[in-house]
Amino acid sequence: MEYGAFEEKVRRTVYIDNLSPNVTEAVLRTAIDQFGTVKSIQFIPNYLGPNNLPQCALVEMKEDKEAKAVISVMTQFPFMMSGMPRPVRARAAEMEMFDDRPKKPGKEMQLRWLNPNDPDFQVANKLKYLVQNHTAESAVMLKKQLIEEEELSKKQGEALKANYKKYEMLDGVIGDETALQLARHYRKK
Amino acid sequence: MSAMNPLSQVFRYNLHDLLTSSIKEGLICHRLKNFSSLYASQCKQPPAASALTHNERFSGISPLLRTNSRFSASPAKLAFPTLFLLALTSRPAAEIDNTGNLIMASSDEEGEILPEHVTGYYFVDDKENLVSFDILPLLWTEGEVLDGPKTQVFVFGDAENGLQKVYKSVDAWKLELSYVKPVVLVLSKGRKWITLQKPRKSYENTVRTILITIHWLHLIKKNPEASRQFVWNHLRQAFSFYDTEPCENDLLQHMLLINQTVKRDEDLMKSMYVVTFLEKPSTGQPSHEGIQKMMKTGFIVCEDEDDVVNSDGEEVVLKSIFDTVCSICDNGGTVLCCEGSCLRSFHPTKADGSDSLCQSLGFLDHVQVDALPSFLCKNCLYKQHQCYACGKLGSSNTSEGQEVFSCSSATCGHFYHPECVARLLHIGNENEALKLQATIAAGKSFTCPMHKCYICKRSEDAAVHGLQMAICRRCPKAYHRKCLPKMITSEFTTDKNLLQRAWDGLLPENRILINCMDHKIDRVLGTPSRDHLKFPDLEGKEKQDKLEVPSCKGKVTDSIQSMSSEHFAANRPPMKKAKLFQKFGSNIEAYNETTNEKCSRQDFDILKKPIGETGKNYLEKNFSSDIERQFKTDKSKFLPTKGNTKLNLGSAMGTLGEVSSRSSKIRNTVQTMPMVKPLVTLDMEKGLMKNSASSFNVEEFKKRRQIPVTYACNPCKMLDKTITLGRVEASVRAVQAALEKLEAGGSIEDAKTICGPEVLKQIAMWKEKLQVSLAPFLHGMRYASFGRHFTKLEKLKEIVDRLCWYVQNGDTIVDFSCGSNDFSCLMKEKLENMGKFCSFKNYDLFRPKNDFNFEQRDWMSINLNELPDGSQVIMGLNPPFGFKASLANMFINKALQFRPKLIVLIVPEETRRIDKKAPYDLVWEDDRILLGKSFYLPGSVDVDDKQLEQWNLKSPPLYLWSRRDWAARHKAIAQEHNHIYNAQERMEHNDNEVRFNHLMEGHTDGYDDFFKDMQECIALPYIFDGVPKVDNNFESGEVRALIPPREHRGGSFPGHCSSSRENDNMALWETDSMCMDMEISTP
Repeated sequence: MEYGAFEEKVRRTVYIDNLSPNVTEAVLRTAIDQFGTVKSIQFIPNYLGPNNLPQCALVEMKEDKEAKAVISVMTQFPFMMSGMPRPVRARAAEMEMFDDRPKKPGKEMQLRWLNPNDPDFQVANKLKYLVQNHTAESAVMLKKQLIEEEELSKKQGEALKANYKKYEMLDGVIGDETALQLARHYRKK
Repeated sequence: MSAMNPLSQVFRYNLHDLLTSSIKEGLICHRLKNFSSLYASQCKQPPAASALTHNERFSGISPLLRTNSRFSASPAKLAFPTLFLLALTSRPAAEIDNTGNLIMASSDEEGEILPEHVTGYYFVDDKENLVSFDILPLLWTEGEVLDGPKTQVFVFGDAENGLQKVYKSVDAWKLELSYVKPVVLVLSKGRKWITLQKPRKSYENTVRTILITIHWLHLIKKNPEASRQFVWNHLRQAFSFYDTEPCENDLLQHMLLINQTVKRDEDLMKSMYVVTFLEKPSTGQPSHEGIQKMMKTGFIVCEDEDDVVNSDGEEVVLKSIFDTVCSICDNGGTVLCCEGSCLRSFHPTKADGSDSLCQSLGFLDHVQVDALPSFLCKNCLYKQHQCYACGKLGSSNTSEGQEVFSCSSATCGHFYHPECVARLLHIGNENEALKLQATIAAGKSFTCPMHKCYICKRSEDAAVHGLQMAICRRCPKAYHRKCLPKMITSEFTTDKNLLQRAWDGLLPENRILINCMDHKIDRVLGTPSRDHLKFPDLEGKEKQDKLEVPSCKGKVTDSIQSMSSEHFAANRPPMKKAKLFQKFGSNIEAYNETTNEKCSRQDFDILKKPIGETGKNYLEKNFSSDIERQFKTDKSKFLPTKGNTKLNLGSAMGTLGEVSSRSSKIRNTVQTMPMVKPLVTLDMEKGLMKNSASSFNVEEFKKRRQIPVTYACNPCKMLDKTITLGRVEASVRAVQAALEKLEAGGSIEDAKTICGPEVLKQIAMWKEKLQVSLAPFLHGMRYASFGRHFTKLEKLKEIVDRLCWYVQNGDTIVDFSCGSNDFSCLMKEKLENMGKFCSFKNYDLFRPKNDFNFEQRDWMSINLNELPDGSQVIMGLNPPFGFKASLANMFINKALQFRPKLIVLIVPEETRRIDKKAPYDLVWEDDRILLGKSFYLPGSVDVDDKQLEQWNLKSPPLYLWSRRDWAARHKAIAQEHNHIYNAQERMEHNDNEVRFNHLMEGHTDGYDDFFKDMQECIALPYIFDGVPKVDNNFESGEVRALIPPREHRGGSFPGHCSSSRENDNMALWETDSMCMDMEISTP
């Protein structure tokens, strides 16, 4: 049964998001492969957003047990991938995440035109507005998240630079033997 | 007192009720605050009251004042009935009953009310000496007869949030271990028990050991299963505010108490640790080390500055060599270090400095403080520092118009006008002073008068008690301990003319903090008046307390506003209904054409679905409320009938989830559609933010992310804010200045004043820390893992081939950190071929692909009874190493508890040898087997998408340790199979190694490429801007040393390969210990 197999696949699959844009399939595969056998990886493309958005992907494992293990490991410990200082998130995949999912058996779908005076027209309209609304909302939230992320990364970058400056100074004084000479002097006494 | 009206009498009890219960529960604190402010505004008496309490706190405490403890209760008489009502109504009745009765019962004939809790307490005997409360007899049961105490003992302290002073004679004490926290109670003369809360700061050392003992007992009672390590780790945290770490030695003084408690407590009897401790209290490793530690802190300077990971793998974080006393109030505690060159620290919040009434930096809470990446005080920000001699502000900007110059001593951080300091350094010698003034103004380094004793003009020697410095906090004056004038006393006296002017133990390097006789001590503050700090930019009285308070909030809301208004504008043009309908129709056509059929079919399918069936799971409350609101606003515009709306609403809500989950697809259509109305308004957005914030609980999140014990002591976290730029700069400059001085013919003593050996050590330590924390950024790009390193399969095979000879039929082979779990599989295969059948246990934190006999457990949490007897157990193999092998040591210690007959280990050389801590013999060690690329980083790929391999700068040897009673047998096997190679072979092998390394250099191209590629694929360049690659070897968490390329391409460290620098570091450490030795041997 096609649908059964699909349900099976969904259970085996892990949805991973907040992936750095630099993550390639190979990177992801190797990273997950240590917890189980990866069968397939499908990145969910984002055609419309800017390309610095975090990526998400569906990773199909060999068994659903492995999928669970991956999720538990990744939720329990911060898991970094490709150096981006944000931990990757993992959760169980859901059917709606697959765009190639088969039709649910026993469910017929019908397309039809609606007249503006059809009562269902209002329903359709309502839905349309809702969708618009949610798109707008998610856009706002996403924007906000990106701003916050950028701030965070700026902060981290600054901290890193500051630390690096200190490191360089220390390294300078240790590296050019000043400290060593001084130590030798002290020892001589 | 006698003529008290009945109402006020009642009220008084309730006032106390309120106070005590709030203190007790800590719940009504805010109410209490409101209450007392109300109280203050109404009866106008309290200012006097508080003044008195402060007086009492700081002037030598006279019993006379103390007995007047009724005082604080008396203002209550003046209170109004309204207050009474407030008190009554705001508390549940049952509580009134409870505490009310208690208090009534406890009040004696004079109407005096006894406190139940006392905080900031200390005990003195009849001669006014500080004593520990355990000199009192200990009561086990209520009503026990006391054989009258030998000395009279009094407890001092605050009760009821500082509103009442306690001064009581006490007879006995008792201990309650059954609550969440250990509770100590003392029995007052009035036969009432008083709970002790927090000791007064100056009393902490007196009660340190007894408190440690009590906490120790309590911790074990609560966790009878706990191992020694666990207990001490916790105690170390709990007592981290002490200079000396708690150790088993502290318990030894209270063996009697421990014995008695254990006898009376079943939980304690059950604990293995307690039983073994009572048997052999003084032979344990930690206590032994404890003794060493104590000796060191006693005699050697700043040995404790060392961030040593002691051999038990426990990290010891110790005091810095920098002054950690708040510059405003001269008290210690939680301080924030200024990042700049002033090297000062401040209490960030009022709460932190509450003990000393510190005005603090004025931060509201620590969230605010933590949000700052670094703190820069106003002085350092504007480069305007005070001259420590004359107190006037002057520019310290080195690039132009410098007026004040900083002392070159590494830890000093004081600025001076050349004139002021020259005059101080050459008192009465005008010519010399002028000369010096000129050289200082020209930028030559100098050390300020604080580094020479005011009396004998000799410098400090921190190793000799008498030559340790006492430093004034207000002017550049310092004395040796031996030269300190008698008037400056740290004694606690009742003589009102002689105030305490010296405080020991606050400053690093055993210095004493003093306020010299030039400054008048303010009795309320306990320090001279606190107008000594001047910050630039502010005038008059505000100068001292107004510091930079960051406004983080403004920014965020700004951005919200600007964003939303953008959005608003974009969505603005409202369309008329009819127009929209028309458009909608045409739009559907377009939609059908452009998007694929399947998708649209599904979407429409949803429309027809009955109300909220599938979508329900997706619905979140916050969403629905938003929608509802949205719908309500819509209603008037679009919807004709009300009944219909509700139905629609339901169905819409039902499908909402599904629709939104595919919003990216649908967005196609949305974007081609005209916007109907402003979709997200400011209000809604706030709501959204609020909802998303409220659904996220930080505490909960943190709890879920609890890190296993092996990762908890990650050295990256140790990179705190104490390594400030100013300190680093000062130290580096000091090193240079000291060397200059020496080369110019200065004495060692002078050089040491500028830069002591402890500074050198600190520098080496800092460098190491920074290296560790910087490492992940530099190796990050293609690195996806938990920092684990696995041994390669072929290496494991070699190990298995060797190890299999030692295994007997029926043994259990335990891999405490199994990684990919290959070892046990290989082992099983090999052994079965040899006809041996064994069982296997594999532990790790992460489930591997191959879960053969695997248990997802933290090795530290395995109990003794979970594994068979040690004589049937073989343990290994490759534990995480950790910072200075600390994790490896932890793993091994845990393994030793099981007493396995054989331990096979891949650990770095600096790991503590097992034969030093347990009866084990080394059968053989092999440092060749793991040379080269023996490890790989699981889950990480290189540029060619191949598994990332790794080799160590110093390859960790493979060790085989055998329990002493098995050692002979195992050695025989080793001999038989030629596993031991002799010394000569070793020598040859060392030669080989040199050659081998030489060869390695030729191979580093691969790594260089790795780094090059790494840089190429960095997509977040701003993080790495200006940060050249560091290819030093590093240890990050359990990440082991990656071998660095020998040649640096464009790196910033010319001509120095890491190994030599490593040696430098070592040399620094060594030098230091050597000169320490010297100092001890010379009297």
